[in-house]
Amino acid sequence: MTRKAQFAVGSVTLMSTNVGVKIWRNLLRKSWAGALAGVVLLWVIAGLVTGELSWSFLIANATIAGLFALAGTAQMAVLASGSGNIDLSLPYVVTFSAYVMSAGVLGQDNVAGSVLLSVLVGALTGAVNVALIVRLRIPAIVATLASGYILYSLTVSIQNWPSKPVGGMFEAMLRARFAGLTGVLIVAALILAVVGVLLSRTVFGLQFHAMGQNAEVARLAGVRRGWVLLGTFVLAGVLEALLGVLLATYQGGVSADLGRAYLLGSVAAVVIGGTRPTGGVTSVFGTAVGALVLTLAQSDLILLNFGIGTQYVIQGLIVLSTVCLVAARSPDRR
Amino acid sequence: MEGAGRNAQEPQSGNTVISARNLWKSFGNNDVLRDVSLDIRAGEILVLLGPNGAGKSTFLNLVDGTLAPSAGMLLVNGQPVESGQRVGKNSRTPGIQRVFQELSTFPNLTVAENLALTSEHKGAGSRRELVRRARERMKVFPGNRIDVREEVASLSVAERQMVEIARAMTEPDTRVVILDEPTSALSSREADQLADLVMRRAAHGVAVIYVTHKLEEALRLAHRVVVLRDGRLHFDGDAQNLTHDELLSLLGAMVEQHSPVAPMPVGDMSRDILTVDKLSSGRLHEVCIRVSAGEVVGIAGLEGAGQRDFLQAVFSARTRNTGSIHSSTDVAYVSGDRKNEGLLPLWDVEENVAISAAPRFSRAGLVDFRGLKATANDWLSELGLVNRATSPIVNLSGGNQQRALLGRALASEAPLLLLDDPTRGVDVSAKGSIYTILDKLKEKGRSAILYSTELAEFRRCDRVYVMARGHVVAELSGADITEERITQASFMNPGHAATAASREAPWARERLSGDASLAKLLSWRSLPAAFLMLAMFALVFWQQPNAFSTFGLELLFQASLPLAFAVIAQMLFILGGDIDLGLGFSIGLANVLAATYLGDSFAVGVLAFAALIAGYAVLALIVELLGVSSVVATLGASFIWLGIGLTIRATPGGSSPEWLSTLIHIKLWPLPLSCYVLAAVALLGLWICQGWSYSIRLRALGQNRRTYISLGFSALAGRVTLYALAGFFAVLSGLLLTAATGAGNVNVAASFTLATIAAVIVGGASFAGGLVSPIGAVMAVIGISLVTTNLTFLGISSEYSTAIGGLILVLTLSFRSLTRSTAS
Repeated sequence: MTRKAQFAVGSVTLMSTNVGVKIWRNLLRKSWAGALAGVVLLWVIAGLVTGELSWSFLIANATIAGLFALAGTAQMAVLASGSGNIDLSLPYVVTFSAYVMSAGVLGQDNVAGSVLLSVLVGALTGAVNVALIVRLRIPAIVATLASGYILYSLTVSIQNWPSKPVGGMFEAMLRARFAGLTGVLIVAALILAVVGVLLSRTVFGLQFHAMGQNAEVARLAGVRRGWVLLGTFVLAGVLEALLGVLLATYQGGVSADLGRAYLLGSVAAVVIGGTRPTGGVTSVFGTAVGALVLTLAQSDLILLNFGIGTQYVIQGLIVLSTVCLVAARSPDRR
Repeated sequence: MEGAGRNAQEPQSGNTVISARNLWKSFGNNDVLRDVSLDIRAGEILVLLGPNGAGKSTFLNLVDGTLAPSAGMLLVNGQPVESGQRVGKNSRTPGIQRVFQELSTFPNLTVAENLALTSEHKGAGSRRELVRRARERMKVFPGNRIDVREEVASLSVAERQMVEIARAMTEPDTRVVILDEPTSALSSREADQLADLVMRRAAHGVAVIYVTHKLEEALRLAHRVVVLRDGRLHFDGDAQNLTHDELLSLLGAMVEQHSPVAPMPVGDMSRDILTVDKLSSGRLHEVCIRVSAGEVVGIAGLEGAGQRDFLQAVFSARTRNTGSIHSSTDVAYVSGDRKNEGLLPLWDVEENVAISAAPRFSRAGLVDFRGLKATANDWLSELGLVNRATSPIVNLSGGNQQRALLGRALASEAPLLLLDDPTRGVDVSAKGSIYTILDKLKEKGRSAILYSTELAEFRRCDRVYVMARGHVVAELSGADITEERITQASFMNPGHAATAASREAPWARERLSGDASLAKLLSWRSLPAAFLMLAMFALVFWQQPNAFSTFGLELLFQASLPLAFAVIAQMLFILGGDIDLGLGFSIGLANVLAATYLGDSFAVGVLAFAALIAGYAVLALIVELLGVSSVVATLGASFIWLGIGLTIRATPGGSSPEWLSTLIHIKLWPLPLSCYVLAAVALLGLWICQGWSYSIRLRALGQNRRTYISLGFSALAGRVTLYALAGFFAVLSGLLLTAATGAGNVNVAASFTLATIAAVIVGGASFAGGLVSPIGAVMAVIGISLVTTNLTFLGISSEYSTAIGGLILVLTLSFRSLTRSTAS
């Protein structure tokens, strides 16, 4: 039932319980197989440059990629919900919730309250987006742009409040190391695992994947499209808010540009991770691997003394060549 | 025309225009057309009749060159048409005009533009000439109230059909006109005009092939009647001495006296699970139908008589009681249009079946996959498909796909199934097994409503309602359900010709002139942008009266110049139905290139700009040839623009070439230079969208790429043009930024990407593509930049202008959807 909606937990158990050629064959057929090979390649290149295949280098990159994967997964859900859907409000939700955390809107020490408020705002933004899309029949790209703009100004209004790094238990937990892994990576992985279950094991997930393949078919099969779309955008909004929360706490500082890089990056991670940008197939694990490819590529280029400009060019080429390759191979060209 | 309304005039014995010899056409094992030989002479009106699925459409597709015959020969004007000539983009045989049942006009173009698009003299002549020629052509419907300057989207269905007919009828050098049910949307008056027109054209030597289900029309027009049945030529003869009843029996109906439509004695009402009482909507007129438990009810009639509309209405109203539909049960839908309404193509058979049952197998939010799989497999084994459970559904034959989809409906456990032509395009054995499933279904007490294009299938039904032109015209049961009786009822004419007229009476639209101009203003797509700009101007001058000077205006407008060029670039993308998410960085890159190279070496600078524009052309290739979405492609490109910009200049720097700075500081009177430039860029944009000989085609491409290609135009050339022009405007925007800031900075225009999308939309564009307003977009840019100015005057942080931009966007779109819904 759910082979197309793979996620991290599922594939890990698969790999540990079975051995043999069959696994490899299965693995190669996965949409994210190319991205995973890319990760290995980039790690090896880093090893060749530094003269040591460093585990901590991989973990450091995975930590950044884990945060990236939250944005990527949010964008993935929106992209896969139907062709043409995209969430442009993503960077604004991320930045706003980061400010909610650091400015301590509900009092500096009320960490739980701030997290809750951020998540609520994220969910609300998603709901507003769907209201605009379904009620006013505005295309997703414009609806999310409009709500993002409004959120941006809300961010500006709390920007000048005295902010200070989020401290306490929460920060300590994110920075702590468990079995060599950073706390923030574990938190991100747990969130992604929950999303993976949601998308692959629930009725919502099934109907979501049906809708992404063909919305009219899904409707005739009894799927209430409006509700599934609401679930999708609320999920995306919550993920973006959580990313903002983690960024504000883990990085210790916030800027108005905080979310900007995540808009381009999220789509890039999704595409590289093998999710069909026209809907119907998702892979949380693939998106996470895609995010790791992007981060590793950047780290490698830094190790090789490439400038920031070259890093961007190469990232762009990776994205473009991936989509061209996927499109050239898919039978349903337009 | 003769007094009796019968066109008794003998056709002039014209030359043979089309000659079909032993034509065969098969799709797979299915012979759709068998051994048809037919000569069509110039000046002849040939009425083509036949029940559903008789092969009429296939025959027409062969004649107009859309399809190639499997065997046999087709001579057009005495020349054999080789099938090789027909494949590819130029699929239409010259000299043959066809009016389609589904309208193929572009709704975003005006009537005049639609007529000009396909005409021979392409682009020649001014706008006025275009309108004049269109008015001339529309005169074939005397007294019509169609304004050829209006967009086709604002016309009624009948008016659109009239435009299509006028186009086909007035195309020069036409030898053959094919009319496929041309009067389905027309009122009786327009149908009369059409009849006149057809006869006049025939008298001028044009051959007319006229397909209709309306027998009175056939009798009135035909010189000759051809009847197809089961793909064979069943009758070919002179129309002169044919009567209505003779036509009916040729079509396979049992001829008897018209029996009045008496409603059947009402059975046991308590067992009714669905009652529809006088449902009227769209095509449907006072449809009354009831379905009891354990009953299979047929909905027969000619194609397009309202059967599908009825099924869709019942499905939409499921489990809710809305007005005239009272349904006490859940409903499942099975469509014969598997590709568009049935298959979930990425899933296997089991998953396709299970999706409808998933809500019943949810425990604590999680799906019980084992139970779900078991249910799906139970149904699959009942259908004999269990060995294919894990095959991708797209690998199955049509018949097996259809059985699986039936399984999906059964697995939902809905007591009522809506079967929308479930045996379309499946082979005989699959049909048999689908019938068996239907019988079993009945035994289990479940009900179904069956619509089919094959009459024989209705013999399985307990009762059959026959629909004609949106009405239920007969109810048959038991032994009365025969193909003959259904055919006879299908050709009935309920309400006699008044049907179309009562719905659509375009000339009856009388508006007060004041109302009309207000309506026109409200429907002006750029109204919100114009209002925004004027309101912001008023606010500025109210706060700072001395802004109303050459210098003051210069200050106000200077800021919006680069954005105005950027907005035209984005508009060109949206014109083609695309979006540029990399625009901000490509402008930033142009800015860096100008500040770095242009001052030292003009040639190097120009080359660099040419490379940027070439980059855009490559993007067009990726989008058009590989089908990559423009969002993803331009997003990828944005990384590259940014990267190149940073490589050339990691930190802001460089300088504006002297000539450029001088150029933008030219003093003019009475208005500052920027005013003229803003007006010029808006007009340039307008010229690209309206005045250029290519404009009509570009807008047609943005609206509907498939139809555009089917007309024989190159979508690739169109998209490359749009993208390259957008790149050119991005370069201009970057140049202006260089002049304004005196430096190069790749991040300088990062906010432009989203701001331009917002401005184009506020300015009056639609995302459907092909509908943009350059003047509105530039007004929106000015308005939005004045918002910032006003905020500064009011002492509010200019950062809030973003929120106001967002609000303006939502308000504009709400306003637009409001005026649209009140207008219709």
